[in-house]
Formats: sequence, C-alpha cells, structure tokens
Amino acid sequence: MSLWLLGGVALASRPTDLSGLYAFESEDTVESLDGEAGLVRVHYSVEGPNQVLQGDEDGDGLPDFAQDVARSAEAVLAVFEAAGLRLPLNESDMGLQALGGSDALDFYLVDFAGTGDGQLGVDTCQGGVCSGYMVMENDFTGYGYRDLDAAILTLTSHELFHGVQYAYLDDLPGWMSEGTAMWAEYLYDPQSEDFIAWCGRYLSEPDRGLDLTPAGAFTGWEYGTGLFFGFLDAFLGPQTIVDLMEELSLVGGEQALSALETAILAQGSDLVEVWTTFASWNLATGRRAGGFQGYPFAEELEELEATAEADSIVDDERVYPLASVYLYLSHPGGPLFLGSPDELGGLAVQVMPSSGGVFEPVLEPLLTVFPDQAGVYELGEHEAGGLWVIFSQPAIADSSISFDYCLGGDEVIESCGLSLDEGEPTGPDEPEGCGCAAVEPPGLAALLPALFAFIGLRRARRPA
Amino acid sequence: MTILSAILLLAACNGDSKNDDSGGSGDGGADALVCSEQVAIACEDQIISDLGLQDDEISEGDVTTEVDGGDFLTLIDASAGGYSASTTSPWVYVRFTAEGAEKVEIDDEASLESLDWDLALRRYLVRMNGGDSGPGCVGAVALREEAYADIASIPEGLDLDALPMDDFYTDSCEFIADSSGLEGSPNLALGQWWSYPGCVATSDIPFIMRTNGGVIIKLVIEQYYGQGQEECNSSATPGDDSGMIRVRWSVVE
Repeated sequence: MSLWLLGGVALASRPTDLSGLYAFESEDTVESLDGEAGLVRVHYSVEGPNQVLQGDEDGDGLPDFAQDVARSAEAVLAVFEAAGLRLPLNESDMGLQALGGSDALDFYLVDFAGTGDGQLGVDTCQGGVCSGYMVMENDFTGYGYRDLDAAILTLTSHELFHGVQYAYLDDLPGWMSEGTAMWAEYLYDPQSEDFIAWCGRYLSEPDRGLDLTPAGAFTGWEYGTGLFFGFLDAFLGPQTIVDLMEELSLVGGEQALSALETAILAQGSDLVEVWTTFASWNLATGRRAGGFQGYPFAEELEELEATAEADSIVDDERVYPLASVYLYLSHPGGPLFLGSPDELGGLAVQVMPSSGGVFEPVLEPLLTVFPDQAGVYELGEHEAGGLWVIFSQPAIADSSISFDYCLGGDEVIESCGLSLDEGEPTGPDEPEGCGCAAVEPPGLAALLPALFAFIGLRRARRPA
Repeated sequence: MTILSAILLLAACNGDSKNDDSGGSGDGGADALVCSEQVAIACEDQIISDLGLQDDEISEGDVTTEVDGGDFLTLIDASAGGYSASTTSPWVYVRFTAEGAEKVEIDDEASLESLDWDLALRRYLVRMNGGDSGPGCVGAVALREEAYADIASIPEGLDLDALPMDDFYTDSCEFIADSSGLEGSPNLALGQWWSYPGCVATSDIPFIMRTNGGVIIKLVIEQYYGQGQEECNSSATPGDDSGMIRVRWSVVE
C-alpha cells in the first residue's frame, strides 16, 4: 500500500534546482529520457545519492526503471484522456518557460528515504488551476509494494490524477482529492491492490461522515473514501466522476458536496438512492458477497463490523450525514419494528436478510424506510433468521441524527413502552425493563418505557 | 449519550452555547469536586467526529502509578491499538487525586457528560476535562521558563480560576488546529508538551493544572516512546512502543 503518499503539494523549485525536500544533490549525474508519445520526460540520476535502479535488460543503454515510469505514465494519461478527463497542465500551459527542457510533463526520480513515495509539485497557479511536475521514489528499496510494476502503476495513476485535479481547481478538499486519486488507480487498473487495500480503511469506519476526516497526523481516511468513488464508477459509471470534476471547476472546492450531488443528479439518480445503495453494497463484501450484484470486486474487500449484534436492540445512535450504522439481528420471526421517542427526519432504514449467520452472504435490501416523527415503524414481517438493519443519513446536512431507539419484535417494542396501535397512544406504562438484549448500560433500558409513552405506530414517509 | 445522563446534564447546565465558565471555586488542595456542575459541550457533534470518539467501548490501556521520591510517576498506555488504528480506538481516561492517579473506566461519549476524569489521552493528544474537551473545569498553564523540579509551590499571582482550558473550536464549531504542522492536530492547552521534528519529542515544559477535584498539581510529560525517547529528542529518530506516556507530577500548595 502507498502508506506514505503525500497529500500535500509542493509549491517550490524543481528537484534539478538542488533545493527542496525531495531533490537531486550536487553529486548526482542527472539524465533524462522521453516517453514514446512525447507526453512525459523522466529525469533520473545515473550516479550519486539519488541513483535510479540501473537494470537494463533490453540493453538499450537506458535504465529500464526510468523507461517503465515513462511508459506507465503515458498509458495512464491515455486512460484519463479516453475517460474524458482533462490532462495535467504543464508549465508552458501557464506561460512559463520549459522548466524541464520540453513541453512534456516532467517526472523526477529521487530518493524519498522512506518518508514518502511520490508527490505532485506545483510550479504555479493562475485562475484557479495549477501546473506542475511529478516527483517519485527512485528505487522503492524497502517499500511494501509487491513488485516494481505495482509501485510504478500505483504512483503514476494516483499522483498523475492530482495533476488532473489541478487542471480543474486548486482547492479540492483532502478527502475528495485523495478519494478520487484512489479511484484513478482503479480506473487505470481495476485489479489495483492498493485501491482494494485502502477501501478497507473506509469499511473500518462506515459510521464516519464521508467528508469528515478525523483529526490526526495521518488517518488514512481520505484514501479510504476512494471506495465511494469506486462505487460511483460501478453504479453510475465513470462519467459521474468526470462530471464531478467539471462541476468542481465551476463551483470550487468549498462546494465539493453540492458538486457531488449535481454530478449524481446528472446521471439520473439522487443522493438518497446513491447512498442507500452504497450502504447496502458495503455490507455485501468479503464473506458476505455474492448474494446480489454489488461491487465487481466485492469478494476482495474486507468486511465491516456490526455496531451491535443481538436478538433485539435498545440503544442510542448518532448517524452523521453521508454515513451508515450497521446492526445485526438474530430475528426470532414475525414483524420487525423500530421505535423511537425522538424525531427521525432524514434517517433511512434498510433491512437486508442474511442467508445465514453474521458472516454469510447478504441478500438485496427487502425494504427501505424513511421515518420522520417519533413513533413506531414497521420494518416488514420476516422469517426467523439473520437480519441486517442499516441506519443512514443520505443527505448533505450540518448535523447528525441523534436518537434513542428500540429495535425488535412486538414484544420488545411493547416492553419498551411503545404502542403498536397507529394513532392510539399508550398510557404511561410503569417501568418494567425491556427484556431484550440491550447494549447500553442498564439505566437506559429502565428509563425507556417512561420516555417512550404516548408514542403510536407511524408510517414512514419517503423524503421529498 | 444515555437518557439518564442527558437528564442530569439538562438539570446542571445553563444551555449556553460555547461556554467556558469553570464554575469552580479553586482552593488548591481540596479533595471535594471543585466542579459541581457540568457545562455542556458546545460542539458535541464535531468533537465526536473530529477526534474519533467511540461509543460503548472502553480503552484497554493500563494506567499505573508509582512513587518516585517526592513525585508520582504515572504510566499511561495511550497506544490506542497503534498508529493506524488510533482514530477508531477509544481514549484512556485518568483522574488525579492527592493519593495518586487512576484510570477511569468510561467510554468516550459518556466522558462528555462526566466530571470523573481529568485527562484523556490517545497517542500524543492529551485533552483536559474542560472547555471544548469535556464538561468539567480542568485547566492548566505552561510554565515555559521553569524547570519542573524548581516549582515548589503555586506561582504567586497565578489565577487558578482563569487557567486555560482546551479551546479547539470557534464559536461556530470550526476546528482550530495547533501550530505543530501536523494536519488536524487540535489546539489543546497541554499541547506544548511535545513537538514533532520527525518523531514525538518531549519539550520538558512543566504545567500547573487544576483538576476537577480542585487538586493543584505540577506535571511534566517525560516520555512518549517506551524505548528511545532520548534518541527522538536528540536526533529526531522515532523510538519504539509509542503512546506509552509517562507523567511526572506532584501536588503543589
């Protein structure tokens, strides 16, 4: 995995200026070669501290590694162009002299000494777009890639896409910048191990809002969001990301989420459909894959963990915008209900059956419910067996939906003090305990009956 | 947030938005809670998401305290599952009393409605129970010009009711980063204990801190790496066993 990919960009002199964090040194003998299509020029050291790998199996007098970089970079650019994406700008596009000696996109192969493995350098920005160059590890000695080809493929597709982004705008939020760059790895190579590996980061925390990067020096979250863009590609097509980039060039990075929604609408879908489908596909991964058509790479993905596993659940929950919470029920059979004393507007609730246990393939969602007011909502009648319940907030919003709830059969709902009779509120029940498998401390279950009183069965409304 | 604690919180706080009123009286050395009322956290949605606070999960990190001369040495396992797992791991909570420091068995979301803890730690981040971090009134000041060993008493003129608290959100709950240069590192009042020359180096800057219980202590964080702290401090080489934080502290009058 490209654990050390650097998200930031360098607005600095070029490595051949012998200054900056990643640069050649005066002892280096720097040469260059051009790609066959003339789109890329690779600068490398044949002797010195940044000496590139010297293998030359074809005996043409040029290091194979540098040639492979040029070949891979031009192949990546061809894929980007075929997809309808803008290509990275070079210095001449911005009115600068040819800093690398030609109008080709410059690659510099230098020693990152384990502190990174690739970076997009920016020469200049004008009018909201930037031109730049690529800096890349010179030999990948000590890095964790399967082989050199995998390293080159990952770096060229990922880092070149940052150059693509700068051809659209210069203020893309980190999560969308890295997420779409991870998607670019997938676009170029649908078998990308790096892309698949980083998807696991997203699946480790699906209850985090897509755009809510956690605090910390390097959390990996931005890279994990590549799963969402891989989903958009698989569900709506790669044109969605092309449209997204075009929209971003119009509205800027501060409106990244609204640009995303616009791009989704342009494909004839909407955020509710996209997010709830994304949530269901994310459950059907690893051992849970195969029950319905989800990701083409579903079996290679890791599996997410349920927030709670029980026969029935009494708990509280906080569902952030563009996030999902997963619950697993060993349902005894019969109708399933969700009751809450809190407003639930904006929440989407999906029910997906498991073909067996918690790690067996899941089947397509049986129903999706959109509750609004406090009350009891029927989530269908089901045979005994495993049921997944997904809470999502499929919207762009300022805050989470925070609520207490009781989830299970009629006995559970009634023992929580909730009424199953629509429109006919119950009386104030005496606290009697819930009798279900609460995952909160006992205090919550004991208090729920009194607080849930006067709440009747309600019908869910689909959001307008 | 449980319903029980929500009720208690509603009864205790005044409902103001971002409120840094400590509510304490501040007589050093007292064991009674100086913070008798909680102050609701203004940016709860944000802190849970930004700092990766966990629900229904308590840290397994140990907290042990031993006596070293006139000081306590408290070792806190804040490794949080390691570097890559830290944002999905719970914080470890610590309470300081005149008799020593002890772990508080509480989960992250419950901590937002508890006065039982003074410090919360995860990796290099050390929050205090007050301001934007918690409902208490724990505050601290860095004594940059002093050595820990030379602090014999509460510095003259120090206003214990005005000690800085954690302040990493604006009034509109926009995140405020510290000056470390590490992306997304919150502006914590104890943040000066470390710097990042390429590893987490200790600054040896001592602090005067008032706990929720009204105990006034001096403290210095001596160690982040279980092994190799000196090499980190001197040559920016990361050590081993990161997140094993050692705090030297004692009560001051």
